[in-house]
Amino acid sequence: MAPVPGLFEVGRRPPFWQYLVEAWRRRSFAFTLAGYRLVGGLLQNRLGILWIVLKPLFTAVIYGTIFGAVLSSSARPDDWVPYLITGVFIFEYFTGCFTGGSRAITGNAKLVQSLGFPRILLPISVVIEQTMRVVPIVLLLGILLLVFGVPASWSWLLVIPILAMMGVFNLGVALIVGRMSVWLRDVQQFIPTINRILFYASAIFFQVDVAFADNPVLLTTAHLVPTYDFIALVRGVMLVDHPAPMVAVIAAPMWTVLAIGIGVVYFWRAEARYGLSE
Amino acid sequence: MASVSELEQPGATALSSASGPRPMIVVDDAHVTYRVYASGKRLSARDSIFNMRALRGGRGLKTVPALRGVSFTASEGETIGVIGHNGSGKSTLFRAMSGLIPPSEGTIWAADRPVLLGVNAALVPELSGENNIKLGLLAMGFTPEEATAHIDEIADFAELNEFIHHPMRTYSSGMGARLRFAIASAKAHSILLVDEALAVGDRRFKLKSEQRIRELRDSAGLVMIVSHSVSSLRDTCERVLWIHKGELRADGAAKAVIDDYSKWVKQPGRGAVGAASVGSGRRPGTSGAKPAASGVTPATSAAKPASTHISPAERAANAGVPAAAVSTAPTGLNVAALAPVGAPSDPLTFDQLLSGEAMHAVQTSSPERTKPRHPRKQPIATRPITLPRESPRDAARRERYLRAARDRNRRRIVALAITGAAILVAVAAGAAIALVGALTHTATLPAPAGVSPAETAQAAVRFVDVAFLRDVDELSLDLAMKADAVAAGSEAYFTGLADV
Repeated sequence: MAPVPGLFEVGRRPPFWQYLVEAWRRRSFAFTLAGYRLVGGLLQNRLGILWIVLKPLFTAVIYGTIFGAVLSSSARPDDWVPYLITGVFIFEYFTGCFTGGSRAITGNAKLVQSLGFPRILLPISVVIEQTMRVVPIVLLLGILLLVFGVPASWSWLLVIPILAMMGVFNLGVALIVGRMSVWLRDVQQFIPTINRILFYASAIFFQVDVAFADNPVLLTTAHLVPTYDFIALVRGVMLVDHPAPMVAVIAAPMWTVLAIGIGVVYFWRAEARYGLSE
Repeated sequence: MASVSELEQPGATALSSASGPRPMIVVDDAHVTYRVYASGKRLSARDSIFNMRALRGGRGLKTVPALRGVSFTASEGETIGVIGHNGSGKSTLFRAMSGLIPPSEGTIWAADRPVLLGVNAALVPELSGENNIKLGLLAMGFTPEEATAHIDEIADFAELNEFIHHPMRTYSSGMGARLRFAIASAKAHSILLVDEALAVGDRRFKLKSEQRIRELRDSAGLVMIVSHSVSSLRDTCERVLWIHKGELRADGAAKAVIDDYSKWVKQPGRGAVGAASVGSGRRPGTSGAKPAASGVTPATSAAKPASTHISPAERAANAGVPAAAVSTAPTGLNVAALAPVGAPSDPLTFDQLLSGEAMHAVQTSSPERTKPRHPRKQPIATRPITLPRESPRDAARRERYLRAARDRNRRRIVALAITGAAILVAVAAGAAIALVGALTHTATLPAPAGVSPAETAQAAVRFVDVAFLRDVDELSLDLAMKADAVAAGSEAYFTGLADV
């Protein structure tokens, strides 16, 4: 109760629903920030927007050389190159959101301390920026697949809803890691390690069904890794002979709901305290 | 909540019922405590590297009280200046009022979300001024169309000309401040908090922004300004708050408070930078909403008090009212009269202060520092000398300290437990991986190849022993026992396999 009618308490987080409504009302802030960030970050380089596609391309070339030519294994599929680049490109989307999300609040401390707006817009703008980056990457992926002889089909269009779902999942993860890194800066140190673990666990350069064929427990565990689920779904619609396992089809939406639900609530609960970070 | 504030502030209800200007902000005993990761003491290079705390991953967590119980009421149509030396808590107060920092104790009420514009607050340095204008407007709740429409107007006001298209990181501090002021004042906020903005711009822009502040105030708003420029405050404000070491030292008519402040600034040996390292033995709470206790007329009433600075004379005048608090004052005065005015300040650390043992020392020493102004004017003989008793404020402060200490201990134990658990999990995971690896290996190869994982596990145990025995003695012992068991188990398993 206010000492004088008409006053409200400053420095308290708003009710959950009101918070979401307010964030929705100011969504253009997140979009504008994401656009400016993307352009501002790229314009300083000579090659500009080309870097969006060059970076994952280089990654794919390196892994293709090392795991394709140097270390060959029986778990390698026949259509090795399309299989690899699909995995690398889609995984890049997750990495970008994960890493960016961890810096969404800490990297914008000045903005947080000078303007009052729903803080959830900062991780959202990170995910929007990464989504903007993923569009040319997916176009490049389509072209490369055609070059390597994968037949185009209507099922390719299913990539859009799959990536939209992945974007929501990424947002959930970014929200969780965004709040965590405010209170525990160590999280940012640990993120490259998690990325690496997930990279190897997501069956990007080997076929998990072949590698763990005689170990059902490991196989199911590998099938449940969220990043693997999304990569498997994309492979399922874009490549020939790589249908996504049933576990992945079920697990991907479940991971998405789980991540976004926990993420939004977890992030909202600390809303009033983000300005306190050093 | 209302009942509490009414209990604490008998004046508040009277204020609200009085027909007068509508209160826009009510700050009720606000405390803000920062958590800073720092050792809090000087470390030699050797210390900082070989410190056990650094190994454990902890930079020491230190709590710094930046605001300690500030209360006041500000009403519609007022322009209030805030003064105080660097680090006294002015900016913290503004941040707390604008909701960017939650008060750790007490509450702040506002009629509308207060908007803070400060010099230090950069928006997004990589972006151009124009983009920053748009972002700032959108963040303040403008629709994209409105924002686009306002961009030119704001750019014109900031007078940045062609620089508006340059990245903001290339701006001088004055240019940045101008832009931020222009953005924040674009909307007719009902409550505007200005942090040093006027001090940075050049003379021309200063006049312009003063004009804009007056306009904002006239459109039924409240404007509060932090500034070190005493003359500009004298021009723009009619009421001034003086924040000293995180507490409200004075609240009253601009001229009187500024005069007091200027006089105090010229004193030799005054406290340097620092918010609240030592408690001052002042009465509990100074506020505009508390006329009964201190003789301060609420600043919202028509007659502005000359100055509400609590001089010793005033203490004497209403000595009967806050009995517990005033009891410390006479003792302090005696000491002040005897002690040299320019004595080194802050002889006690915060921890010492709150440990209770030092309470007596503080109560005798702190008035010397905070009230060095008229020691000789007081006829000592008329002051009854009472034993320094704990004022409610000191008690509350000690209570807070003890609570913080308890919290700290609890966190330390939790951190220790988590670290131990993490190590345990890591060891277990390593053993599991080794096990699985050996399993698949022995499945394909006939020769027993399971020796090396077991050795790895043992090496891990040895490592754990060496690395953590000194720090987390019992924990690592326990851990080593468990890891040993794991290693032994896996060894037995592998020898079994080899036998097969």
